[in-house]
Amino acid sequence: MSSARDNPKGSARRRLKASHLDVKRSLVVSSPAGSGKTQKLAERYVALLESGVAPERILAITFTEKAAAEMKERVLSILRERLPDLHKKIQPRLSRFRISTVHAFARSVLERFAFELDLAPDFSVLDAIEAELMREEVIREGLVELGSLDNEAAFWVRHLTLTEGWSRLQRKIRLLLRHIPQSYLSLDAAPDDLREEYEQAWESLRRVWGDGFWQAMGFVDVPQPSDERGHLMAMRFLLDRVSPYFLTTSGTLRRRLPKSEPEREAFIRRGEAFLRYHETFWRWHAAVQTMGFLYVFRHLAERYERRKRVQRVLDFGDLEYKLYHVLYHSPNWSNVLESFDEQTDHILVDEFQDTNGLQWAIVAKLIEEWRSGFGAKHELGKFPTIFLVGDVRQSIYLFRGANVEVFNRAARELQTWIKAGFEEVVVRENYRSLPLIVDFVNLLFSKLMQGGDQDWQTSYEEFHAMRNPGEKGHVEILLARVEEKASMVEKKQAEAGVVAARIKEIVGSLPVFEREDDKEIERPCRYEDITILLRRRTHLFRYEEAFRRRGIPFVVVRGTGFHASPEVVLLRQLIRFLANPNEDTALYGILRSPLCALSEAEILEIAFFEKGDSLWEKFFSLKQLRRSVIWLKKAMKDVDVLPSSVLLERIIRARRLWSVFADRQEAENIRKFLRLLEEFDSEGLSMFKIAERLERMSTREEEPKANVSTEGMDAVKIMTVHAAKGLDSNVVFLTGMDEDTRRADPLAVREEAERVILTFTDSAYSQHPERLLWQQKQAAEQKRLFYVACTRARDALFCSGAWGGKASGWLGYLEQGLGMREVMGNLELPDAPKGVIMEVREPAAEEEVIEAAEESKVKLATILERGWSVRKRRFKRVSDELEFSYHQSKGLRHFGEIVHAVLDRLSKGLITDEAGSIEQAVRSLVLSFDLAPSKVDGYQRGVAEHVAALRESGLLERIVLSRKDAASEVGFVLREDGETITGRIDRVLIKPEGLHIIDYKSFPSEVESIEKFRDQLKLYAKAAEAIYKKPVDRCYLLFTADAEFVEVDIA
Amino acid sequence: MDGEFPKHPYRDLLLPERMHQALGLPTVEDEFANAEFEFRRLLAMPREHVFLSAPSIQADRPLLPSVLLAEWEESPEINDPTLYCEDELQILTPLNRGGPQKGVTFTDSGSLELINARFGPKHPFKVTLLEVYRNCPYRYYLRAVLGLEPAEEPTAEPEGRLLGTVLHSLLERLLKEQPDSERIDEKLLDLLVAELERRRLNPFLRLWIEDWVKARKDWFRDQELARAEGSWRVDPGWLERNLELSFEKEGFRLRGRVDRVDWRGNCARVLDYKTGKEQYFKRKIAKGESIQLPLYSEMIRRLEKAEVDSFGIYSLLDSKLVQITQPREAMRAAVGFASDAVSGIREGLFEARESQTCRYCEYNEFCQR
Repeated sequence: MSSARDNPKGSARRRLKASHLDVKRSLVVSSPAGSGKTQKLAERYVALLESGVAPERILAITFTEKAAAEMKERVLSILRERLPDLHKKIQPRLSRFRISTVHAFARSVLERFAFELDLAPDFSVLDAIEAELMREEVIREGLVELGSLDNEAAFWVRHLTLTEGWSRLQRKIRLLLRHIPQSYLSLDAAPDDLREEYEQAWESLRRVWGDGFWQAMGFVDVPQPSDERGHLMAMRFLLDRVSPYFLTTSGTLRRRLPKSEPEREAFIRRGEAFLRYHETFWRWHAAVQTMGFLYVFRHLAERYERRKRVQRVLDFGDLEYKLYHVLYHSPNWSNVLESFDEQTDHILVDEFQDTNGLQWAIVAKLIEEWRSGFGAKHELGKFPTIFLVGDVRQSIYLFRGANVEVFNRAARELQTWIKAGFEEVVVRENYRSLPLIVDFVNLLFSKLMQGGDQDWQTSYEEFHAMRNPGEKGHVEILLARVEEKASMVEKKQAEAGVVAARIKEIVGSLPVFEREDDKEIERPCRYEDITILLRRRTHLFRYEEAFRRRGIPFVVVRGTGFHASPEVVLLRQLIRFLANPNEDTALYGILRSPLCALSEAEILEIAFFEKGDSLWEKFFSLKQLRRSVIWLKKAMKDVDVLPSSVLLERIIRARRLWSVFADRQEAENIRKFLRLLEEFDSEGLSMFKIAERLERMSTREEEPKANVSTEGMDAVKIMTVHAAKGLDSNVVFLTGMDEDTRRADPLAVREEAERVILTFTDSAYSQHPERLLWQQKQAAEQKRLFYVACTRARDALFCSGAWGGKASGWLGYLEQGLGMREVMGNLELPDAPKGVIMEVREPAAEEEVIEAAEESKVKLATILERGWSVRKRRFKRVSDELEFSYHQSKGLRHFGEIVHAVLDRLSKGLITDEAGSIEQAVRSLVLSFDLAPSKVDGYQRGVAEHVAALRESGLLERIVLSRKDAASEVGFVLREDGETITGRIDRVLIKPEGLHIIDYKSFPSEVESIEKFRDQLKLYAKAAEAIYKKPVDRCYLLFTADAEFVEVDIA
Repeated sequence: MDGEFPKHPYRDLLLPERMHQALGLPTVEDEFANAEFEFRRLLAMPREHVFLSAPSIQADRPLLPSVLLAEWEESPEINDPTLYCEDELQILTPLNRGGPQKGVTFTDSGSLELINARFGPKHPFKVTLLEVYRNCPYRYYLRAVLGLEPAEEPTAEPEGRLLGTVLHSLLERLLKEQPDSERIDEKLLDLLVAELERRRLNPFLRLWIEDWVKARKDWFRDQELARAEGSWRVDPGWLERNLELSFEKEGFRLRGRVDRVDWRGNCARVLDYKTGKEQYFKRKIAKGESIQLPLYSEMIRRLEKAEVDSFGIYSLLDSKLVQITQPREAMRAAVGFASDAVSGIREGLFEARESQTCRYCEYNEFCQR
């Protein structure tokens, strides 16, 4: 295959260099994945600054706030490196940079013209959560109120509730109001506009029915058709009852035919007639439903609009729609344009493939004057430009209303408008992936994306690998063998297991490349180099489970399910209980959580206690347990005095909940929850109302978890393909290749000039042309999604799935694009580039997994060594226990942690060394780890043995037990060789001659050579010296299993 | 000093920037100059040192330092490991919180004694709850052992439970009156109006239920006609009837409430009304996931010394009657399933079992499925 690697200074690159920096020319840059889109945008921006354009005269539009911030940073960094003088001049004017999201830009215009546009001058913009709550409320109340009336609207509400179902109807309305501001365009025309379609559909149906259809079918007494409302449901039920005789659930003719010839013939004849009738009916039904839906939608949209107006707020969709409306339909449009034109000479838009027709209409209007080549600016010798950059192959937001067709349409329109001052540039360089990945992607997608007459039919343009550090890269199709009829659960369990096993194999061995200065340095792969891309989140917990079982550290990035995360569930339970102490379910959650850490046996005892009705009353009748919830009683008193956010924050601190949910994601989720409470408090909501609102919100699975920076975490990242957009990773595992994840969108949305066509997409309308078109568009988007996923990989790409003998889901693309086939039980990829590996693995048996985890115990020293001497990165959170916990078997890990925690409690005087006290502590620790109560005895015996050994040797008294001149579990953050390391020192004794550092090891001294821990102790010593401002005199390891106390020389 | 400094320039909603300049009003440049002045004055205030810090990242979003720091060199980072707020300190000393709940298993004698005292041979097990145990023992534990009732508010929305209550009551009244099958649909609508009136529902719910019933009344009439043709008799005493029976040999007692039993001589057909979606009924019976109807049938067989012709669901939502004829095997198996469930309860085994319906479970906050 020809490649620009042979000719790195190819003409395309030269042309682009010339083009994107040519500040007098407008451009549409089609820039494939990994070609440095944002860099080009930033360079263009800098070129404009360099040519003397003031920053406030450049409008750069990105699609997320994060992208806007990154863009500013990149512009500044280019300036700093290449043009320090300009940088110095520009930096103080940073606040005048107009780099923002499309919403922020629209907001600024609407604010400026609030009076003219009849908006409250101090309007605020609802955040996503507030807006969703308001929408839910408006929709629910609106439907109930409308449905109670006796008019047209009421009929449609009840009819749609009957046919669609209550929640489905609400979901459809919410979808439009939330994601698709252009759907407002459909309101002006509807429903009269649909009358014609409805009439036509009705006429066809009447004809079929009137032709003695039912009589021919052998039915008598079927009433004449009528489009009177009462008949609509009756007709539908009649059809539903007949359908199963002739048709399958997917609407095709049944294959099982009667045995005798005449009966068979009659069946086929009737079946075909019925199929025709069926299709005609559903076509008419779709027209009826859509018409009714739009009727209801219009009422609710108006109601929502009124509510926003009263509260003087707008939502994100409004920002776009209102700006569009101003520019096209307001008498003040010329003022707005004039003002914009006066302030702006250049527009840059990033990720242009994700725009919708409304957004492009806004931009097109804004540049109306200059695009003609005439006007005041040209007369003054200014050359206003527009610069759009994107990649149609990466357009993956169809479900949120993005329209891939806009990209090509915009390019054509600009060409017509600007002519000579415009150029469309196609970039073909890929600076991200190694050659094998690029070859794989080129070969596969040139077959899959063949284009077509329509703009949404994406065509593929090959790109060239520009990286060549001497390695070709790695591409592997990794499939887990499953039974042909395996359930989805079995398939995903098998796949997750195989992926986890492969990760274990490649960490430390697969070469990856890190950029240092201008060179690419090879090093072995680490966990942090790996990203798992999920097609959907449904099976996320299978991967979490598989990774936990194999001791693989991971972090879920931008995961949804905020409300279902354990920490948020617990906080919600607290709120629910504080709002209503009779809420037994909430109290149960609190009692068994680390907040109280009661055992299930204790809870059972309470529940079976006869005095008192609710769990809480029973609790207070049982004196022996009452103490454990005194804090809760106190919190109940504070409910009326303190805002909920303050009250909860106090509980969280006092009950050391930050320590329990110490994972970054969890801590950020707690903060997000507290911010949410602050908002509710600021609205003056009571605890009861807050609880109610939280419960309503908790049903929304899509609520994202709090954002977390993953920098410095040596953990595998898990995210969806959508969340990975704009990111890359050294190693990518694209999972779920076998899954068919086409979205069951409730509505198809098609943009036409100045209006939007909405169609129901339920399976009943299987033959509706709009639905078929929508499905084709979805299929095209699936390919683009696959492309986005593959092109995230820098050095290695693994495509995984389950193989049960059928190329389902994206495996079908491998069949289509690379000729994947099974030969003699082996899978082959004959058309794949040389070097692509294909492997089908048997999933590992459970016992093997556990054994593998056990084995990792003896690898501890190697891990420590690698952890502290090889890795180079900016941050490191490696305390001994974290490392320990990542690499030990679950049982040993828990035991080690329990021993450490018990010794810490002894040191802090929280418990005594009496057997009862230690047993109690072990039990609560075991239960807080959520281990089976049956394991309590074992752990208690184990810990007791260790403590006994320590006591007998005198070490318990000398080292562990509470004393003034000592500290336990001392946390530190240390900067060492440019790395930031965090950790905890088990015990520090402060002696006159200096500090004694002691590190506990819960395994016997013979397991590992003491030498292995020297580096660890050195770091501890350094940290302790910094903290206590005293020199370290001695360092020891205390092996608790055999009470061995060993001095380690760290000099 | 904390927060945005300098503040984002004030946006004048009435006058554009050039008008400010022309009229001599403060411009954005003036605002910036003021901020810079304030900043320099602040810098002059401390006696010895000035420390300036700026966050570099918020969640995953990079933040840029204040523009006032443009001419400042970045100092080497402060390395004081004791600079923490309380939250951070707690976070640095993590405690393990365990994973999601996988259910409960009691092995200690105290708990088992408590359980056996309550769920002994005299305890009448509710058939519907035993079915819950079959599908998820942990759910049974939370509902029947601990007796946790999730607090739910009455709703003004059209939802299945309300419909179920109304229709069960409506059909009981209707069939108790033993109306003529030919005109049963008219009677149904009459009684519906009275039933809805009695319940004082809001107009929307009233109209919605009315529409719902009207759409299905023809099918209902056809079913009742077919019943009459098949010589099945509705006995008013066998509508919404409570059953209780001790299974001596198996060592447990069951109770429950059957929706309807039709009779033809000594032969019974047992029916359960459904207003929600009911899928895979036959498969669920075979797998022992649905034991309610076969157990009721077995109880009727033993109590009445009757023969059970069939049992099935009378699905009002989907307008269909799904029946299992020759049900003896299923009834026998269901007793076995119930027996296993009772043993499991008494042995303190309440594991959480995953299924497609977990997401709708009222207790899913405890296992996070």
